[in-house]
Amino acid sequence: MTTSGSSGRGLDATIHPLPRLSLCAALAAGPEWVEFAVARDSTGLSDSAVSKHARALEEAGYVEVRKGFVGRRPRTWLHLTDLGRRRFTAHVAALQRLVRPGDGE
Amino acid sequence: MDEHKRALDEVERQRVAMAARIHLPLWFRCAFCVVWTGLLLAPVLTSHHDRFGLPAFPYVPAFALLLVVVLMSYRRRSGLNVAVRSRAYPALRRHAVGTAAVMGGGALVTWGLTVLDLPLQALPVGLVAGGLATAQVWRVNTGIRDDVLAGR
Repeated sequence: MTTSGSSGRGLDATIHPLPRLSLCAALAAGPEWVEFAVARDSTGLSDSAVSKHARALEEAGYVEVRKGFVGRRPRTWLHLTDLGRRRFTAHVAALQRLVRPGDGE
Repeated sequence: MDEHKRALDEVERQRVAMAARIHLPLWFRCAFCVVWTGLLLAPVLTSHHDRFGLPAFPYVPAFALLLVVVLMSYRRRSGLNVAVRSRAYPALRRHAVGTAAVMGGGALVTWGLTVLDLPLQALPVGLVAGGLATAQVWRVNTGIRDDVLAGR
C-alpha cells in the first residue's frame, strides 16, 4: 500500500531526506521524550535545521513538540508519535530490502 | 544504492549515539546505590538512631528527597526523560518481574525486619538489597542499550 507520503518501494518521502531520517532515528532510539539539544548534538544538525525538519515532521504527524521549563530555563522536547514510529520502522525495513534484496524474503 | 546504504549507516550511527547516551554513568550508579540503600534503611535509622549512635533525623523524607534529586540530576544531565515516562523498551518488560522482586522484595524484607524490631538483621539485609537493586538497575539499563542498538 502506498500513501501520499510514501513511494512504491515503501520509502516514506517525508522521512527520506537524510537530516529527517537522522532525527527520526535519534528519536526512535531514545526514550519517550528527547530534549532538543540532545537531538541536535546527536544528529550534528544546527538549531535551525533541527527546528525546520522537526516542524516538517510535526506537520506530517510524525513528531510531537513540547515546550517547557527545567528550572527557569526554557526547554523543548521532541517525541516520535506512534504514526511516526510505524512509518520510520517501515522506511528502515524498505531501505534494508533495497540494500540487501535477499533479506527477509 | 549508495544513498540507501548511507541512510542505513546514519540510522545505525544514531542508535549507537543514543545507546551511549542512555548508558548510566558511574556517578549515577554510585549515587543511586547510596540513596536507595539509605531509603531502605531509613525506617530502622529513624526508630533505632540512638542504638547506632546517630542523631534523631527525618531519614525517610530526606532519602526520598535525595532519590528524586538523583533521578532529576540524571534527567537534566542526559537530556533524556527515562526515569518517569520512558517508552516501553522490550528490556523493561523482560526484566519487569526481576525488577519488582528485587526492588519490592528488598524493601519488604528490610522494612519487615524493622517492623518486627530486628534492627541488627535489617541493617545487613538493607545493604545487600541496596546493592542488588543497583545491580538490577544496571542490568535493565544494559538491556535497554541492547534494544536501542538492535533497533527494537
